[in-house]
Amino acid sequence: MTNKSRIKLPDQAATGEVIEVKALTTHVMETGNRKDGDGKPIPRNIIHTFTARYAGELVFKAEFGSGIAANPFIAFYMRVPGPGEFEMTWTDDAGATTIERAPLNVA
Amino acid sequence: MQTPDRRQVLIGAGALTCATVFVDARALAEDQPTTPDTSPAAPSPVPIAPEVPVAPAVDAPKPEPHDAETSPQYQEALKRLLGDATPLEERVTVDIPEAVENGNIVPYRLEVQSEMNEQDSIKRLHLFSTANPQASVAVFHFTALSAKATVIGRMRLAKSQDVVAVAETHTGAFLIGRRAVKVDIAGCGNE
Repeated sequence: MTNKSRIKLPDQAATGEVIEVKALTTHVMETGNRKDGDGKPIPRNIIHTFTARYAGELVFKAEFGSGIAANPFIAFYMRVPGPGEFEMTWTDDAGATTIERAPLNVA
Repeated sequence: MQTPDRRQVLIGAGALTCATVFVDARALAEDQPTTPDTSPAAPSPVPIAPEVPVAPAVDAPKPEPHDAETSPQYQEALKRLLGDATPLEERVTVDIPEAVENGNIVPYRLEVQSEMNEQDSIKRLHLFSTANPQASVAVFHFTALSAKATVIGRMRLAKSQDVVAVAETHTGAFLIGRRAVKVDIAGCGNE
């Protein structure tokens, strides 16, 4: 399972400014409620945890259930503490962790 | 071409792990704070947060408007979160289209009015479905770097229902908001 992830940040930000941070990854988010063609239940496999760190500090964390749509998109807000880089992680039930980084252009 | 072969092996290994993993579907719902600092059982003679009135200040606790239509798992999940506390029906906005065609992708925007400073902040925000197979859709954790107690995403809805958001303040008080959504095509993979 190759996950493609994207982080969307403003082109430029100032220290103290409030910015919107958007993150997207590809994942089936299998609920565990569905059955395959032979009537066997398809095991649940969802991204259960998303974390966003900035310059090493935790900014935002989300715990997802099976009620989150496939290819989870999330947006949240941060007050820019200074220059730094985002590191976002998505972890699924199969133990796969996807990590994506993006620097913030702080003027 | 060596690379595709290696990739296929890796994919195969991933699929095997996926098939054998045991998943507790209630893990998310049970991952609630049990620490005493948010427990309503501890009596406090002095109100910790004068700006946020606690339950007794309200004339009468409001009953759940759509109690009959909510699932047992939602009622259990809410009870597990709140304990005996009565949430205040204020400051939480659940912004979802009134009617959606596809329950597999339902955009939501949750917003809690809060200064997000030392005097007034939101620690966690819980998103509940009142009629999906699993009631707890997500728990969002805010930090000192969070500028707003606002989160945007996409959820699944198995059928028309109320979507509920419960916020936990830094003093341990609960705030609740809800929105009724009509769904044409069911999500959640129940088919």
